[in-house]
Amino acid sequence: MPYASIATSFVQWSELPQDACSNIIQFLDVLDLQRFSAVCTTWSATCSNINSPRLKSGNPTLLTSRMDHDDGRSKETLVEGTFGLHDVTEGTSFCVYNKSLKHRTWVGGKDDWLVTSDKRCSLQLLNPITGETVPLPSFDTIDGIEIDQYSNLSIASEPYNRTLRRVVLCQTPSSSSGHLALSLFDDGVLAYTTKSDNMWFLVDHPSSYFGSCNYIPEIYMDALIHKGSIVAVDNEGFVFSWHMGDKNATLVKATSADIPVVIGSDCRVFYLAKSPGDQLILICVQGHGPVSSCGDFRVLKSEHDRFKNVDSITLFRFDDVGETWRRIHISDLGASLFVGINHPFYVTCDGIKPNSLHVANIIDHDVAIFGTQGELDMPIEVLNYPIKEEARSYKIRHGMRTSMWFRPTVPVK
Amino acid sequence: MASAGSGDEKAAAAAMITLISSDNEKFEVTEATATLSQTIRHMIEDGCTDGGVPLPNVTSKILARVIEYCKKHATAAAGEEGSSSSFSDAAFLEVDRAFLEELEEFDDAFLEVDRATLFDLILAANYLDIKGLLNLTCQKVADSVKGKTPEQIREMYNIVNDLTPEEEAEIRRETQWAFE
Repeated sequence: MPYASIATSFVQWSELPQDACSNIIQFLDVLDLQRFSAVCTTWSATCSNINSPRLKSGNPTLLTSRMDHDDGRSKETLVEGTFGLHDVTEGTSFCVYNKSLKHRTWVGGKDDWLVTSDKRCSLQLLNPITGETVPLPSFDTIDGIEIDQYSNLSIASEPYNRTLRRVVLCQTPSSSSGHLALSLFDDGVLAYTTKSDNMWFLVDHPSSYFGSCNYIPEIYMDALIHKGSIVAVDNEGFVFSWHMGDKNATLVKATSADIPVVIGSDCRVFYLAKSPGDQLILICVQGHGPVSSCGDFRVLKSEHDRFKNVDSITLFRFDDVGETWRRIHISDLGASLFVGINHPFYVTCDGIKPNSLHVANIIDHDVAIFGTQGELDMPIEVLNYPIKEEARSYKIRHGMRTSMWFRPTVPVK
Repeated sequence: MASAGSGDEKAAAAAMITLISSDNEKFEVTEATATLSQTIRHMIEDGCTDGGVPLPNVTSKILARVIEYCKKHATAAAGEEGSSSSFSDAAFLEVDRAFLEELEEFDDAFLEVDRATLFDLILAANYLDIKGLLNLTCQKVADSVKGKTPEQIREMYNIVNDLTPEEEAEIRRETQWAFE
């Protein structure tokens, strides 16, 4: 038959029979599959036809510490590059491995990129689907901070010991001008870096901004880039904005929203986001109760693990013309918003409750979902992953990674 | 006795199957070796192997390799049956392990082929329905694409990207990102 002789001399891998192709697929994990499906039409079709669950490109996906049974040998989950990946739309969970996550944890991320750090604060951007990595500059490059030593996500500069709280990835390496990241430390130090600088720049402290008050924020809870400026919210709910100059960023504005007082709610945490119309959104979650115990076991301490009970949630939108914060509801967002230590994003798709707010890593849970009911914004559901309880065989222990949102895409290149 | 001896020979001869490659080369194999292929097993069951089994999709070069694999694994299967049914002491387990290690080494060496041969082996394993060989060769492909970008995979396997920009966009964003 001519077919056999043709096949020998001129091999057409794209014409591999579907049975053989599905056989190859069974040896690939969900992240490999994302890439495999983008090679050619036949392989793409095979990936769509197989029954085994796979990640849907663009679906909100939660990253967690590994969820399968460990062998009990390693004390910390961080040693291995294995982690949990959960498509919250489909309710499917996967255990995946990435060698670039060995001895590292994510400390932030945007879309399909993660910011990872080892214990010595050596940062790297990682796309777990393509495997690409981009190193971020060392904190040695921050002007005005002498670093004596690094340990446990801390940079020690006597007499202080600053601990990294998160890195906000505002632009990924896929962006036309390259990456842009902000790093937040637990003593109010805020610094930024861009692809073109290869060093960290310190952001001005607002100590003199309030005149006689000499106000120094304890810590920034969240930050992002809005219309070319750095914007950050502190632990009191003050929102500061800086112009990014040649060197350090200079403070230009400070605003605060009229956050309602809730009796018995002694803790407030804040998130920043942007509205569909590109206006700033401030999210305030108020609660009470002892500090979350889960947080103690995480490598990355989160300022958002502050309470056991959520009492209220309030949203504000910044009116650029009137320069005021206006109260809005979750139902006004026009889509479902996903926040956490990741850069915030919106999704509208089947399987996700419309007009809801999804907060990752809150009150001992992987996810809390909030929505508008009548006049109030309130918690609707708390979730832990994997959804099936029997699949959650891991024990809470030291060295856990912080649950974070992620948006997988299929790389075409 | 002479008559009994010729009877045995006859039985042994009956257990041999002739496989004929696409380029008309004939291969004599035992039934145990041949029936690792589900396709051939069915042909034997249907009694249509007289005069040889024509395999128009497999060249002699590839068929020789496939038979090499089947011979080794048929012996392995026979060995396994023997040890698991009647023996369980440590000495036999030791022999078993050594044999499995040898089999693994054989498989590794067997896979040391160029990509064109690997492709033909997959096609042959798929056509002849030899589960073990199909898994072995497919795993080799899977291992080689792990951690590679689509472009690297295309280059490695000489595949032309036939996805239209529209199809690419669709795969990239199955779920629409709002407001971007």
